[in-house]
Amino acid sequence: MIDIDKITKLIDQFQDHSDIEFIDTRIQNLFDRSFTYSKDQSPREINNHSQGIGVRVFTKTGYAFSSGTVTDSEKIIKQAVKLANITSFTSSPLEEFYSNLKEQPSIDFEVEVRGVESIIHSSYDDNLEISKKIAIGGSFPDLLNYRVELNSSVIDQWYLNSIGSKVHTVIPKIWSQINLSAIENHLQSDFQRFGHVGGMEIFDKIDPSEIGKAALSKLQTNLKAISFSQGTFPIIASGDLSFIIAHEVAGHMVEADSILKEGMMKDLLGKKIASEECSLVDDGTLRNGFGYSPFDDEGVKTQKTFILEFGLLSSYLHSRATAAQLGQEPTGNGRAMYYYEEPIPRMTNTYFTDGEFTIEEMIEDIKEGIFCEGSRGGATDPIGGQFCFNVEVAHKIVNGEIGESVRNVCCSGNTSHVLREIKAVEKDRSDLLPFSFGFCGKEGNFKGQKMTVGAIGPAISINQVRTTSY
Amino acid sequence: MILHEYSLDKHYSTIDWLMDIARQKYSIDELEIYLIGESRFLIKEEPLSSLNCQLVKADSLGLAIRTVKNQKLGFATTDLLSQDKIEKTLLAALEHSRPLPFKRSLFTETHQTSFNLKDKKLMDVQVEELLEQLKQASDELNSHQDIKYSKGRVNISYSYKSILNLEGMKCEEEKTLYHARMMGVNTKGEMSIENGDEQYSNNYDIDFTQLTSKAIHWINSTKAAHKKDITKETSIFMTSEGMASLLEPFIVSLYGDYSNKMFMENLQNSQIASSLINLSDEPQCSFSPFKSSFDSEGSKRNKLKIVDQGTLNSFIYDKMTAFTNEKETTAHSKRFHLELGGSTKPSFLDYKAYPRIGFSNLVLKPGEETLYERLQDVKDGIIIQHLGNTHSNNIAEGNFNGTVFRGSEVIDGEIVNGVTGLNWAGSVINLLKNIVWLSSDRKFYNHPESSTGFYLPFIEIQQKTNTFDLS
Repeated sequence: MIDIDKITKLIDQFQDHSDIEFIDTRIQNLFDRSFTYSKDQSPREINNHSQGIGVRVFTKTGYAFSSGTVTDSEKIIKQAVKLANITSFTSSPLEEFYSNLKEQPSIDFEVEVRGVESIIHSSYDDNLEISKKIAIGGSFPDLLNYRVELNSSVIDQWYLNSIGSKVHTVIPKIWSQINLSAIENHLQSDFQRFGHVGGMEIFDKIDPSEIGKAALSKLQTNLKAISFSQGTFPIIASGDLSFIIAHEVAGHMVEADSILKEGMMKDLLGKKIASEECSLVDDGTLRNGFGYSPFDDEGVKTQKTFILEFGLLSSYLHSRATAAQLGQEPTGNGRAMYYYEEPIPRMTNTYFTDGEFTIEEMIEDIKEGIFCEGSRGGATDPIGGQFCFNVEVAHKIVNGEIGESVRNVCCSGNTSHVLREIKAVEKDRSDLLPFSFGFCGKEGNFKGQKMTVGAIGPAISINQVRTTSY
Repeated sequence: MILHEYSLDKHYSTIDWLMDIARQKYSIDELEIYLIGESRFLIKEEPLSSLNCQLVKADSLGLAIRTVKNQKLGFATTDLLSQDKIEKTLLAALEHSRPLPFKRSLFTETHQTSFNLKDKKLMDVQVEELLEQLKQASDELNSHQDIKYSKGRVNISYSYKSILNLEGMKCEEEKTLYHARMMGVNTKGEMSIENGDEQYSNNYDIDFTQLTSKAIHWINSTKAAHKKDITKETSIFMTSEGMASLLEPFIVSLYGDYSNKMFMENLQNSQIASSLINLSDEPQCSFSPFKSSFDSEGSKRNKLKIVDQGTLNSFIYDKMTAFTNEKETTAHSKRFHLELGGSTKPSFLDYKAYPRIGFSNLVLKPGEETLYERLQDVKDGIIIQHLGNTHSNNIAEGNFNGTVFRGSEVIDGEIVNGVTGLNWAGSVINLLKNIVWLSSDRKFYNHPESSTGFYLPFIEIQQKTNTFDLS
């Protein structure tokens, strides 16, 4: 049991030091389980339980961050104070930043998402049964291999700061992935992902075998897919791919630390950077989104932030520090992977808002193009705006109709061009299908920080995208 | 500022007690204990950030236990090292134990090995001195007209690990690591690219003047980046980082547990690369800061030839994979804390990780000529420094498909401008078979996704129709 009152008192004691402007801490109680079930290895379950504390100390002239085990809390706070006194800022709008920190109202919140107990108390047999059902959904005679991963975590976090704020959040999450491989004309591997904010009860509502069936459908399509000549084509990106366009093509560009690095979206607020069809939000409050969190890791309430409104750039995504530096308001995007990393601007659930077209209408409008579904991942250079993402399943569009399947399609381009080429967005997708997940990596203190993010949105149609298919 | 020095000796009495109760109270047949303490210190200097100077310190200490009782294997970890918590961890390992897929003992080594790469000078972090060096380096970068944003960081870490078993094995390792990196954005031209250079060492011996000079060279190599037209006459070179970013997703095809389901199946003793390629895994590579003499199961490590004159010589194994497949371990067990998302890259808290397969340092034998000697003869070429998204497309087939995020254009022997936005798709085997030249100068690059060290020369690849497509 973590003694929160003791840590609160420690913060109060140190806050009385005349040279300290502000202290905040995150205390985490982490539980995570990884269950693996595959064709040729014994099932494996790994359970981890750990605790830790991360402390940020801001003095009049410096800043430091220190972390370690909760039992060493006093030592860690002292260490952060000592280090903050060594650093010396040379030029920065510190006064504004500190007034932003100190003038925030003290808050006291407690949020626990249901499902914690079902994760912690689920047995080896429970996990094995669900994993087997997922695998059964993906079975077919020619399967070379299958591998099911069923992961769960509970992050029980206290955010405390020196103006008396306390935010206690307990967020359980589940995510699973099945990988299948087979050989026909070529060797092919495909996967299906499932993500959920909540507990194992979700498997009473959803048949796990559907996850395996979805992976199998992709595999069987891709086994028969043919190579496709490269070029620039109109594409339609389905809802389970458009999120990666929202994320990689636009989202990373507006994380405000990229703006400070001379990123391509610098000085473009209020300017038209995308087609009028294009409105884009980041919404940490979206309860069904895998990036859901009621507060960020700086004690700021998450919100629905419009990044693009009808093609105009309307907001960056901020931590407290970047907001202060750019003279804007925090947006609840100061996120950190674990207690030993510092919060930096990160996306939550980023997606295009509903448009006015059905997918059928979008397809009818294309003479020669590609219908792309699902993402195998993507990458972005947030300074220069180059991006690329790989597609799971792709079909030719010929004269307004879906044609044969093509394989290994990769789309690439530059943000400045592609956002202007979005010509239609799917309508009636306000449900934003839950049950998918994404993880986004970004530079951290020691290695990359990997954050949970939402992975769904409406389908979009883009006039011209450069594609390769090998 | 003294980096925390873990006197794990004080925990050895607890470990002795743990071994006693494992044998006598719980009748455990085999036991492995993995104890690791890590202390990391980070100094960041970003002149244009509001928090332009930051100090970060992180400490962790934890223990992992593997048990074998009645042919069932258990695993559990803790960061609470009191006797009662450790006993609970032992019970958790027994409770979660599952049948072994083979009838063979796992923890039978008896050797005692000690490996020390601790630099005492590095343990006492000279914070003010390093801050001053970073500031000077940043100022040097910012004094260049076109460099608008710069940042520098220094990571210093100390780790102490010990692996023990009931048979008397005791492997101890102490290591310090020094990593410095300078980055900047050159804003000349319409498109800016972040670039720079970095250096690793186990000692307090990084020369910031030299590092800054190299960083400026690479930052300027990508100035005014554009999408270059590639013709059949364009020579294609890759840096160590560029090659590592292309190869890294495919190294799992050389793991013993993946090999028979991926494109490398049945390719042992076959030609998979140009005859110029001699690739080894070298745990004790003198140029790597990630040297070690045993793996994370305590198995002694030696150099292993992976590709010999283009022929695939060996896959790699840890104990579980080897014994399951009736083979011997090649001492390639690593412990990476499984992050949220299932990423197997090492982060912090690696004691929490279950041992899995991984390379140490992949070392490619160099050629006889430096890159700059070779470039003298190049009329039209590109040097690819970083590829994005090569990992994602149908990895089982061994194809890559990505975009050149960072590269340089070579005209008449000179690096003139940056290159970005080129698409590149192909087969990794075809690419390896078309390597036609290796430089004599090599660079160490630690790939952040897998913490595999790559010590590679610059390479040149010949373009051939239908082998790959760069456009």
